[in-house]
Amino acid sequence: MDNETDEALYRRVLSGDTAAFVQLVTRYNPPLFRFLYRQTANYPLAEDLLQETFIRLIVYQGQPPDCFRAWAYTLASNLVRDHFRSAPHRHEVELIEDESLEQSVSATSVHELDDRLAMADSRAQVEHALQQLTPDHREALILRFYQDLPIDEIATISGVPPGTVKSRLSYALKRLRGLLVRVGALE
Amino acid sequence: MTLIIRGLNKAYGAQSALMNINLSIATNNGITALLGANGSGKSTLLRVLATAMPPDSGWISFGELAYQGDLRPLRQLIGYLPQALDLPERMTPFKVLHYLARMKGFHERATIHGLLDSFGLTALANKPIESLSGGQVRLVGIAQALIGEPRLLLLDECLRGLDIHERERVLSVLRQQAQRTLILFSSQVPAEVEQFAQRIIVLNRGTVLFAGDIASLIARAEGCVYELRVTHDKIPLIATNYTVARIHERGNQAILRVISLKPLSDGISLCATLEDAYLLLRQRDAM
Amino acid sequence: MTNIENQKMMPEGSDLDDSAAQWAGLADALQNYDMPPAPDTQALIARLTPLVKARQSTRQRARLTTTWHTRWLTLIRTQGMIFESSFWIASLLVLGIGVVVGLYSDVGTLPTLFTCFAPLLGAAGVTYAFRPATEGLRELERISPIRPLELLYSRMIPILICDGIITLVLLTLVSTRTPDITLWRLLLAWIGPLLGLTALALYSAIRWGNIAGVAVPLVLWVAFVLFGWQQAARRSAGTFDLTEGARWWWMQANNSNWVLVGSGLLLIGGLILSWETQRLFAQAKGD
Repeated sequence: MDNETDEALYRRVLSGDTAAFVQLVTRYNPPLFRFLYRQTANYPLAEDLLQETFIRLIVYQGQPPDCFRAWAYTLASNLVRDHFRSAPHRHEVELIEDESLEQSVSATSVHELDDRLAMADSRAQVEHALQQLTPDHREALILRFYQDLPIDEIATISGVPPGTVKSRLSYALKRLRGLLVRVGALE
Repeated sequence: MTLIIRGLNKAYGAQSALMNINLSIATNNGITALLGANGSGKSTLLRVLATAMPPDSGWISFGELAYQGDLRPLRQLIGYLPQALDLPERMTPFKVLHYLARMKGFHERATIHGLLDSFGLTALANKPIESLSGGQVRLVGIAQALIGEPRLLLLDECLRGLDIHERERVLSVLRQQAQRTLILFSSQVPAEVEQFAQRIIVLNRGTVLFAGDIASLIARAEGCVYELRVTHDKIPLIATNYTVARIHERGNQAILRVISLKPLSDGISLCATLEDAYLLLRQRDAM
Repeated sequence: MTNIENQKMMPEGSDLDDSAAQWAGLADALQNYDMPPAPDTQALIARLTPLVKARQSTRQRARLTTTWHTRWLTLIRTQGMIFESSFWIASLLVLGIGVVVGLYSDVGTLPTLFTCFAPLLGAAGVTYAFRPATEGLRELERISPIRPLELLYSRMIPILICDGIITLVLLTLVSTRTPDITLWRLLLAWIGPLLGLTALALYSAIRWGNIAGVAVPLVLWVAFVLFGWQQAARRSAGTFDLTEGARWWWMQANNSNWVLVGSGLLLIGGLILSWETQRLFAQAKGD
């Protein structure tokens, strides 16, 4: 049943079907994580937000959405926004996860350290430049160019008109280019 | 097992008691305290978690059980001590526990004797409740919450009215229990929270101000606590500009424990306590 | 749909024509931003599967491991613990007085007393079973894994059994001393008012408190009895006594099928009321 639509799988998840959940997580774990990591540039935080996105997807109590992908990114995007809004002292702090999570966090911290050591200059520059953008601009850019979503879907996720998405993209590209030129990553 | 709360809201008429509560608490993280002033929503949260009251909206689940539909399987996992526990005065502690144990589906008398023993109540087991002290009645209340080895233990103001020995006893029982049970207790007193819990949830006016390690909350207040020595006439001025945690009178001088986000040049920097961190959190929230 | 992340970097379509110029060279630079691997999917699945199962549990009903009669027997025995010895002694006393009056007094005295008080015995029992002293346990009873209706019924059963025995003995006594009386008709006429008034007492006690639990059925029953007196008075042209009124009721119960229909209606009303009561009982105070 690999060709089952996301929406059909999600409806099954909402009625407690664990097999459908496995399929949905397998499909969405990598892309949602990439989105969250690029938004935050912080591995443990992105991992936390990823888990939270899936929790919110599972406990959702309204009507199943027409487009699951947009819905999943909307939840992830809202969590990122909440995080940036309430930092440094978040009003909602993830408490107390189980041991398996703690282990995976510490494992990834080691991994992250290795990764950082081996990281090429260019990657650090891009990561740094992306973090210089505002969360809204960064979101538009990531969703369009890394996640390859159409403008209309980005507009749904960000809750703004398509025109605003286009102007955000245009501004983000211009600014990113400027930033990369300044550090010598671009000519 | 993990207790998951998402988007929880509860209101009494037009008065909001809990607003958009989001928490995840796993069993193996020690005892968790719920700290907040009167009316902060602690009791409401515990009552909702105990299934004594339905939430207006939001999701709650414990392990594989959601707080929806048939609540009986969930209720078998919950032990709860209400804030106001008014036990029938002419019943004995043994009879109260026996009755509540049978209500939960447990029939073994030995378990009840074991519980009474662990709280030092064996000698009082067959005396009427009316002859017990307030602290002893509270212990009976905690003992009833432990009937049937609950997996989720919710204790509302469990330490109120207990003397130092009774507290020690409760602490020792709860520590043993914490390995397999998720324990959540409420309190208004930071000092007792610091003694009993490893994790803390700070509630204020129905919202979560902080949830996490007690140590990390205290760390936030480091560098913000000062001792000021001033004459009495300066106290009102300082109190209007800073949060004053404590005042000691010494002759014509007053020693103030002051919490300030800005460095105080004429103050001596002090190590922060949970009370300081709590006051700082509330100060920030009020800003 | 599964192709949710395409690593193709160039923007498509005309919607970004104006950014095409800015794009030159940037795509390659952004492509260098390789990602750390996503968190382990299996670990995430393992962690969150209980939550998915929680959704399932909301649709399932709890499975009971015991048979219904064992369960009810246990429930009744448990609720029996709420009744102190004073209740049983008082019941025995009522029975004893009834028997003595029935055997040694005037033929009309026992039916008169019976008419005035017997249906109120159930109401008195309910008021006792839900006396204020047991209110402290109410919150804990509400969160026990027992349904409110089961709890209410199982607590009422000891009362009804007790009243049933008293009434059966006394009615048999009356029927043996009064030749024109049919026992089964009296029993049928009696059961409706008893259950109706008991259910009314229960509803009133839960809804408005213990005093209402006594007052409401009492007022209603007094009104009924007065109606009987009025009828008797009309028949005897204004002169009647207590016994006459009672006798009129007994004759109606013995001869008129309408009294039996009325009794049936009271019985049904009682059942409906008790259903409403369990709904009230399940709601917490302050909801």
